[in-house]
Amino acid sequence: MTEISAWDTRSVVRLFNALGAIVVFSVVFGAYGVQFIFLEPPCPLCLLIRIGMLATGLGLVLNALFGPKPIHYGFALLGAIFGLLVSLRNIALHIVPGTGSYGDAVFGFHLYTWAFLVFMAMIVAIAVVMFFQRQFDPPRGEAPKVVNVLAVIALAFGVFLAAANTFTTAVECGIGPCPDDPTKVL
Amino acid sequence: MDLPTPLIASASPFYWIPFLFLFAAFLFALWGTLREDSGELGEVEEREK
Repeated sequence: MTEISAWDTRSVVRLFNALGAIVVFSVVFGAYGVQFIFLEPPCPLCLLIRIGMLATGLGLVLNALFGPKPIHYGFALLGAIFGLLVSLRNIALHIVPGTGSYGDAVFGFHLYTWAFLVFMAMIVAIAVVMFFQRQFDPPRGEAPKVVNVLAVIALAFGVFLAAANTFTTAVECGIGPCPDDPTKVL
Repeated sequence: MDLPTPLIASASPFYWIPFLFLFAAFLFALWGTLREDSGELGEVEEREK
């Protein structure tokens, strides 16, 4: 017999990872909103930022589904650092006055600036969550149902966004380099 | 002055490929989740045996 519904450190951390994954996937979903509602196609660097977001989310989803492991955190951190560097590059491209910007501002910041802040927050959050050493202990019982449900929701969200981005990026860029200043939404 | 094309943007034009890799990774995670013995309960029961 196994224990049921153990709200131990491991389960709480799994829940946080599922919520974190849903947050980063929501940001990518929001970028789709900007793409199709405000008709702003993503620039090449914006696509790389999405890749960073999905890679970060993948690491968090793996933690939520299979339990926290250093390899999952490593993957999430690499994705977040990659996205952070790309978004910083995107900010730097437009930081000199008179060089313009890409797209419209959302709540006062451009999307790549928001992405930089999100990646920064993810890196700090992952570092803080990793302080809790007992999350790496073997499971003592099955986690509460809400943890597994949220983990599966996050996974489904990730599968959908990865598939959708593969399709829309292939359609937008076709064979060859993605356009620097795209005009085609899809 | 024109800004130089970002090295990272010119080096990897096929951005759908990393998305495809991520999609495959997500599917792999889905497959792992659907496997009968992959759940935490299975792990616990296996250890108890």
